[in-house]
This record gives sequence, structure tokens and C-alpha cells, in this order.
Amino acid sequence: MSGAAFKRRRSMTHAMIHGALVATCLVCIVPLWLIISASFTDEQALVERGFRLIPAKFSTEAYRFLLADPAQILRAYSVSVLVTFSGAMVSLFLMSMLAYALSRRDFSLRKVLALFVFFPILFNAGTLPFYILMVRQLGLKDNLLALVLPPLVLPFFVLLLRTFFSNIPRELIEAAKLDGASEWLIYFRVVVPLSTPALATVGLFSLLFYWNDLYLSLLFINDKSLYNLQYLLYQIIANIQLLEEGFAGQGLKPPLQSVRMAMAVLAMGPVLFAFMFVQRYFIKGITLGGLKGD
Amino acid sequence: MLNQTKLMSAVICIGTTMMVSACAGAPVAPTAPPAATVAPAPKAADPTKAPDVAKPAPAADVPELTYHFVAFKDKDVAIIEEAVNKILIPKIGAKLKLKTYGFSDAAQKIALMLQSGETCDLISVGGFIPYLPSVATGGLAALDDLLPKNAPNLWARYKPEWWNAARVNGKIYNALNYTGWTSYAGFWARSDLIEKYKFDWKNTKKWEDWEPLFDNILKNENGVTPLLSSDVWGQFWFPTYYGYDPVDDSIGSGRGGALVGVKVGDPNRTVKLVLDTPEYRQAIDLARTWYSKGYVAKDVVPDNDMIAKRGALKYGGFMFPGTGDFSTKSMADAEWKAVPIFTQHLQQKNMLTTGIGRTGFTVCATSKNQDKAVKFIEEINQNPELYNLFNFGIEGKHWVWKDKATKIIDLPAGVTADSAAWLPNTYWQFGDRRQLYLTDPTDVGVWDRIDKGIADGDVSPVMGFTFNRKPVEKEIAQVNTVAKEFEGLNRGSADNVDAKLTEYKSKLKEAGVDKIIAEMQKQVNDWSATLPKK
Amino acid sequence: MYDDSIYLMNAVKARIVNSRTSANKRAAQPRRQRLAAWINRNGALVLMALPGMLVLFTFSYVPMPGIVLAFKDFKAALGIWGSEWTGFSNFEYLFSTGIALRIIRNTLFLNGLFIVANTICSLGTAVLLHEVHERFVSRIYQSVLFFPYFVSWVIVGYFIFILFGTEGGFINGILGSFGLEPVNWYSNPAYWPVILVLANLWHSLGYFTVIYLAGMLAINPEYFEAARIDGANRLQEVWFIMLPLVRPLVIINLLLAIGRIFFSNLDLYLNVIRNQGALLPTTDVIDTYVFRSITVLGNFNMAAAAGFFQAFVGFALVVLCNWLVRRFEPDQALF
Repeated sequence: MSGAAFKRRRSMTHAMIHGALVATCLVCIVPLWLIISASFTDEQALVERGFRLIPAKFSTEAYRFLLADPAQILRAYSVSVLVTFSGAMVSLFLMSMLAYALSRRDFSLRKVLALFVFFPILFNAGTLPFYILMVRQLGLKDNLLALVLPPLVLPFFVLLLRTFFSNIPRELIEAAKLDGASEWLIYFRVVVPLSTPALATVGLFSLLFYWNDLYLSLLFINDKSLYNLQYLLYQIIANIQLLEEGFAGQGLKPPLQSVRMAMAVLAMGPVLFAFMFVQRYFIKGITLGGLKGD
Repeated sequence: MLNQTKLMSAVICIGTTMMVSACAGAPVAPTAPPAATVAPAPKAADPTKAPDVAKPAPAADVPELTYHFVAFKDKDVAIIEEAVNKILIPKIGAKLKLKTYGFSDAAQKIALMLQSGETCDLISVGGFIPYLPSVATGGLAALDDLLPKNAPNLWARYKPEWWNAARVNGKIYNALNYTGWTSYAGFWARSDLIEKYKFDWKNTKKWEDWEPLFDNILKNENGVTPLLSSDVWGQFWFPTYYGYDPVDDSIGSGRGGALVGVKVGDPNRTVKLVLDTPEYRQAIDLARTWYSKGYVAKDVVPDNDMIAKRGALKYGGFMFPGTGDFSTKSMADAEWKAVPIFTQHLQQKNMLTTGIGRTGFTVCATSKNQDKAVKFIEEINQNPELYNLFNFGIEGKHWVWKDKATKIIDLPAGVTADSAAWLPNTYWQFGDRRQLYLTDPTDVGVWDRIDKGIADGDVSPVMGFTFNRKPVEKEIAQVNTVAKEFEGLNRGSADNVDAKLTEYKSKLKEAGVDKIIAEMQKQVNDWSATLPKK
Repeated sequence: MYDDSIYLMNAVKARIVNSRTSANKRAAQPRRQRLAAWINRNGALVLMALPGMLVLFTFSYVPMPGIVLAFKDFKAALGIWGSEWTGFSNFEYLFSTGIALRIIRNTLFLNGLFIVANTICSLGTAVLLHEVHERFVSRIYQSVLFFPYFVSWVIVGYFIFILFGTEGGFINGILGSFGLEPVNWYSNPAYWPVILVLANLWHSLGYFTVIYLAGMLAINPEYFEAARIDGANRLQEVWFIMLPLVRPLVIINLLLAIGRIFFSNLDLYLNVIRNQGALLPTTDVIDTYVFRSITVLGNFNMAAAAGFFQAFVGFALVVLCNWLVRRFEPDQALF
């Protein structure tokens, strides 16, 4: 095969790859654009003419409605940010240590503990016993800890991390051990730096889990000052529906459809940013390549 | 836990749409009691005899009752609580701690509270915090002795058969709230279209009489569907219109799709599968005809879409199982772009059913102050000041008089329903509605119409009976799935009606519908035997 | 040190030999020494695992005895333990006539489709992304692909309706412009397994792609270089190096998916199917049936029973699959 032909084939392949990815991305991005566009569309136009790539009639009414009480929404944002960041950080720390221990083939309790971690994925006690534990035994009603603590260790993420970690060459760990490094040192100095993409991925997932969580607020939060963003938006929508169903009337017609879309944008925005931020840790090959020089 | 999460939030969402719709415009879902027996509207308590606590105790010493209820706008809850306690402490020697809930998650939160054994005192039940499931948790106190003792005026105000509507397995757990129990199957229709086509709506007697208007809409109003429908609305079986009490309307495919019924005036109280009745056939034939003519949209849209389209005036009217006597103005303002909505009752007579027993105050089994809790119920049912404080807040701050003589009020200038700091918007939670200040002048005199409607109306032969589903839960789960699958018959979207109906019946039998009917008949018979002979 | 991928196989063999010899050695030691040696070897790892285990224990295991609710008629006043035992009566509604068969069949069939579609497509996408060397472009692709994961199912349901609505739906519009009859999508159950698979794929493609991509990024580039020197082309690299190295991730995802094969994502079904009775024959799964039933009956013991059944069967399946995995690839077994 001549070099030129090889190159041509190469660039053909690349064009095809980009073609496929661009097509897939379009399928993903068009709805996003429709949502953003709909959130800026006048309610009446939205109902009459449906979703358009460019708002049929531009309006910021939905956002004005949602942001009518800025203090309230700011507080909800800060609750969400606080819970999400503290939760995700502690969570990543706990889960990665646990997963690392489970990934070590020479760890005697490996199988038993793996089963221990796996079991709750399938079997759970249900809402009521969980509620009794949280409220009556731990007294966590209307307490932000109720939002932070339960998802600290999510079995699926632990098992994912374990699988990532088990790809780390055993020789590296053995070598470090021979050099007299303690298990802790090995974990922090060898395993963590080697696993940035994995930790970034699971950290991101954990972040998303905290950010999107509505269930725990539904169960344990009644105090309005402790509402997180998802819960506040959920309540706003529920109340609009109620208004629409004609209790309080008073000539008020909240833009239900566009508010729903604006809500999606408000809830999505910050995590999209977080996602792009975390992405810088998805860096190809840097890990092992970098280590080789040591 | 994850699975539970999804399930639970989904339960909540679905619950919301259903309950919200349950309350659409009309005064609470249930139907109505005979008016002749409605005692005169309560007057403010006679100060000379009412309070049993002569000397007001200092606020700090009196017991505190937690009171759980739903509220739309509750920002000023602390201010209301203070005002309430100022009235209450001297009267009953206790104070309240108000716990407000959003409409969407109240049911779940209260259910968990009752099931987990958390302590509480008072809960308002109704559309959002449903009564029967709350009783089923075992977390409510029976009021059979407490009511006559601590709320003698309220106890005497309603007929024993009304109280029976609140009984579950023989015990009363619910101190009824009288909300004006009239409702009629009929139309809510846009006045602008009716006037444009000079439609003689006042003389319509049955559903078919409305066809000329719908034909005009279809022909001349581009983009307007004559009748609204959604996944919640749009099934055509209106039991009360055809003279049936659906007894337990959760058996079937939802609103407009109940499967069993007992005919009004049937002395034997025969429980029937409605599919076997000629009236049901009439209903689904009407559905098929109207669907084919295009009076109903071909797509079943989610309730939210329907709501949005309704706001954009994309429908001509609403075939509603329970139009009432109250003004439709606030509904029209919120839902129909303020186009006035005409109400036409097509159901001949009001029918009083067990549904009246589902709304009111309940007391927690865990409460340490059940006597005081019931005293509060008595007080709010006879103290308009307290009652309206809960409904509208503080005069001058949350509402102002528009016409004091006819008791009409309004929001203060510059305040809307959405910016209000106190507007629970749930009169049915707080006791006897006859104390409620009015917000629309056309409602002046409404109580006379309601009293007449109840006096002239029917009483269901199974009024006061509550079906215990426990023995046939398995069958209900399956029968409902079959009913759901065939709901197209009730919507008119299924072609080949005869064949489908036969298939539907045989599948229902296979799923155990006969067993449900037999069980219900048995329970009805047992219950009839306990009634006093006339 | 890591010359080629054969190293992995050697490591496996070495491990088997090691564990055998150490087992022999162990038997010869006195008990106390063995304990000391055990602590020496495992102590630090136990300490590392401990905080996580404690959290898991508290929030998952402490309430777990509540699982007995599946076998009880719960009454708040009597408490979980005081409530009456009812044997298997809470399970009955899951196993009666026709319907039981249908919901189990639909659950397995649809979940099977989801698993296959998700795995193949997300692996494929990850491979493609791995081939993109322009870092900035790759990041844009990743973000965009991940975005649908943020979209709530309510909104996904809207989009599906915009596409498939009978009157004014996008697809019927296209059919119409070709002179074809509009299709009443929402009353024909045959189309919906496909639509559900596509909707689910759209929603979760980015999520699993990111997992697999992270696995691929962790592969030592030297493997690829070595392969290239040996004359492997791109496809061979993917086939012989990349896929075998992400296999552990695929296996763990498959095992977990199989464990939950009796469960369904209720949000997906409720929002995409939009409560259309006519679609039940192909789309009614265990969770939707349970959901409808408890919404009406309010008997959450029945929901607990369903959950127990789903978990129990799933667990049995996982144990079986895990056993198979262990026979062929001992290192990749879940436990």
C-alpha cells in the first residue's frame, strides 16, 4: 500500500467517523435547541404553532415567572450547590477507597464485600422503613444531611470504580510495596493519579445524582428555606397546574408550557457547565505515559 | 432505593394530575346531601356559652396541636398562626402549629407520617390528602365518641346518614366539611361561541341536543375542537347522568370509565356490571358517533397539553361529570382567557352519594390532645372570623372588603393570586363553607339553589356504604388493566364496537370481574341489613 | 514492563499459582501468626473500605429487614413487626391469568432490547470518539452526546408526541407529503417496542459512552504502538486491544443490567406511552402494572411484594451469570 493511498484511506475513515458523530450529535442537540427556543417563546404562540427552531414570538415571560422571587430561587440554587458539591466530594472519596480495596485481588474479603455492595442494588427495604430510619431514628427531617448522607455510597458507582481500578497493573502496586510504600501511600500516589478519567467519570455521575435528586427532598424536606432547586421547580410547576385548574383564578394565566421548558434550562445549565469542567480530566493516555518517566 | 425513587415520584406526578383535575373548577368532587336537613348556616358562636375555658391560659402553658393541610400561597404562615392562636387560646385552651404542604406531595408526606407513627394532631383530608388511604394506614382516631362530646353543635348540624358517609368499617374518622354538595353531569361551554351561533343552550335536555353548536364550531371555527379531552378526561360513561351510583369508581379505566354501578331507586341495591346495562351502550354509541364526527380530538393528549390548549381557546366546551351551582367566573378567568363560561346541567337531579364523606377534618391516633383537637374543629365550623382567617388571611393585609353587606371581598390593590402572601385556596379544608366570604357577586344566593338542589335530588341507594376492596384486590388490579386496554370504547376511538365489546366482556370475566361484583353485592347486602327499616 | 497485552493473561495465571502456594503455606502456620499475617496483609484495605461500608450499612442494610412487608399486612399502629403475616397473598396479583405472562414477557423482551442496543451503540460511539484526536472537537462531541441525559422524561415524552402525534405529528406530516396515509401511532401497539428502544437509547447513549470512553482512555497507548509496529490496522487495534481491555466494564454493566432485568424505568414508560390503554399489549411491564395497581389500591405491601419478586429473580440470574463469568474469566466476576 502506498503512503498516499494509506493517507487517503485514513482521511476517508476520519471523515466517516466525524460524519457519524456529527449526525448523532445533531439528533441530540436539536431537541436541546428546541427546548431553549420554546422557553423563550410566547405561550400562546407555543400552543398554536408548536416548537420552532426560532421562537415564533419571542418572550421572556417564562423566566420572569420563574424568577419572580429571586431570593427564593437563589436560596434553592445555593442549597443545591452546597449539597451537590459536599456530597459528591465526600462520596467520591469514600467510594473510591472502598472500590480500591475491592479491586485488590489479594484482599481476602474481596468477594464477600463485593456481594455486600452489590446486594442493595437489587434488594431495598422500600420507602417506609427508610423513612422510619431517617426520621424517627436519625432525626433527619428538615435537615440537609438527609440529602447528603444516603447517596454517599452508591453501589453501581462503587462497582464501576472497582472495574476501572482492577485494570491498574498489579506490578505497579507490587513494586510500590517493595519500595516500602504503605497502602495509603499507594492509593493516593499511585492509584488516584492513574485513574483520573475513571474518577472524573464517577465524580461527574455522583454530582449529577445529587443535582437531580428530588426523591430525598420529597421525603424529608418540608421547610421552604431548605428546598433545593429541583424541588422548588417541582413545586412551582405543581402550583401552576393548580392555578390553571382554576382555583385562585384572578385572571392569572401562567405560561405552563414555556415555564416547563425554562425550568429545564435553569436546572440543566449549571450541570452542563460542571460537565464541561470535569471533561478536562478525560485526557487520553496522559496517565500511564506520564508515569513511565518515573 | 433507586427503583423506589422513580416509582414514588411517578406516583406523585400522576396523583397530582388526577387530583388537580378532580377539583377542576367545581366545588370539590363529591356530590350532595339533602338540603332540607342542612341546618341554618352557623352563626358566630355565642360568646356567653361557648368557651369552656373561662380564663385564657397564658400562651406558653397551653398544649400545641400540629395541624397539617395543603396551601397554595403560604408565605405568611407564621403571621396567620399567630392570629389564629390569638383567637383560639381563649376559646379552647390550645394553640396550633400550622404545617402547610404543597399540593403535589402532600399525599405522600402525610401517608408516610401516619404510617411511620410520627406524632401529629389534626389533618384536613380531601382531594389532595385522600381520606380512605389515610384511614387504611390505621393512623387516624375514631371520632364516634369525641364528636358528640367536644363538637356537639357540629354533630347536631348534619343528619346521621351524612355522618354514615364518613364511616369506614363502622367507625367515623372524618368530621365532615359541608361544601355545598350539588353536582350535575352537563356542559361548561364558551359563551362567545354560543352567542355567535345563537345556540339555544338553555333548552337542551340531553347530550345530543348540543350537536348543532358543535357542527357550527367544526365548520366555521378553524382549529377549535368542540369538546376538550385528555388522558384524564374524555371517557363518556357518566354514571350519575344515567342514574347510577358507581359505588367505587376506582374500579375501571378511570374518570368516565367506572365498571360497576347501582341504579338509583333500586330497592334491592343490585350491583351491576355497567357493560350489561342499556345505558352504557347508549354512552359508548354517543362516544363513537361524536368521535367519528370529529367533536373530540383524535389524539389523546396529556392533561397539561389540554390545559395549555384550553387556555388558548382551542376547545368549545367541557363535558363535565360534576358541574355545580357556584359561579364559573374564576375558572373562566384562569382557564378560558376570561371568556365567560355557561353552565348547563343535563343531569336531571342531584344525587347524593357516599362521596360527601371524604372531605373534612381528621384527628391523628398519635395525638395526645384529641379532645382539644375536636374542640378546634367545632370552633372553626362556627366561627366565621377564624374560618375566613384560614381561607383569606388578615383583613387589610391579605384581603379587603368589596361589599360588606353581602360579604364580598377582594384581594388588596396590586396583589394577585400569585403574589399573595396568604391564599391557601382550599376552602374545603376548613369546615362549613357557608361561612366563606364570597369573591364573585353572582354567588350571592347560591346557597338557596344548593339547598333546593339537594332537597329535590336523589339519594343513592348505597349512600353511606364504603366498599372494602381487600378481599378482591388481586381481581381489581387485573380488571383495571383490561379496562385500561379497552378504554377506547369509552372514548369512541375504537372501531368495530360490537366485536370489541364482546371481547372486552370476556376478558373482564377472565380477569375476575364477577368475583368483584359478587363481593360488592355481599358487602352491600350486609350493610343494608344494618340499616334501620323504614 | 508492559510489552504487550499477553501480560494480562500471564498475570491471571500468576495469580492462580500464587494463591495456591500461599494457601498451602497458610495451613502450616499457627493460628495467631496467621491472624497477625492476615491483619498485616488486609488491615489497611479493611480500614479503607470501612467508611464506605458503614454508610452503606446504615442507609441500605439497617432498613432492609423492612423487606418483610412484602409478606405482611402493614398497619401503622402495629408497626412493621407487629403487623400480621399474610404469606404470599401480596404476590397473588402478579401471578394470575394472562396478564402475568404478558407483563413478564414484555419486561424481559424490552429490557433485553435495551441492553443490546445500549451496549452496542455506546461501545461503538466510544470507539469513534476515541479515534477523534482533536481534543477540543472531541470534547464538544462528548458534551453534546451527554446532553440528552439531562432532559427529563416528561420532555422526552413531549418530543415523542411531536414526532408521532396523529394530527399534526412530524412523521405523519412527512408521510402526508409523500401522499401516504397518516398512521395512528398511539393506537397501534406494534410500533412501540422500537420507539421505546430508540427513546431509551437517545437518553442514555451519552452516559454509557462516557463510561466506556473513560475505560478506553485508561489503556496504555503503548499497546497500540506495539500493535501498530506488528502491522495491525485500525480495526484490528479496536478488535484485539481496545475491546478486550474494556471487556471488564462491559461485563460489569451487563451483570448489573441482568440483575435489574425485571425492573423498568417507570419514568420512561409513563411519559413515552402516555397512559394509552391501547398500547398495553406490548408495553405493559411489571413496574407499570404494579404502579397502576397501587395507585388505585393504595396497598403498598403489594408494591413491596413485586419489588421482592423482581429482586429475587434478578439476583438468581446474576448469581448464575456470575458463575458463568467466573468459569471463563475468573478476574471479571462480580463476586
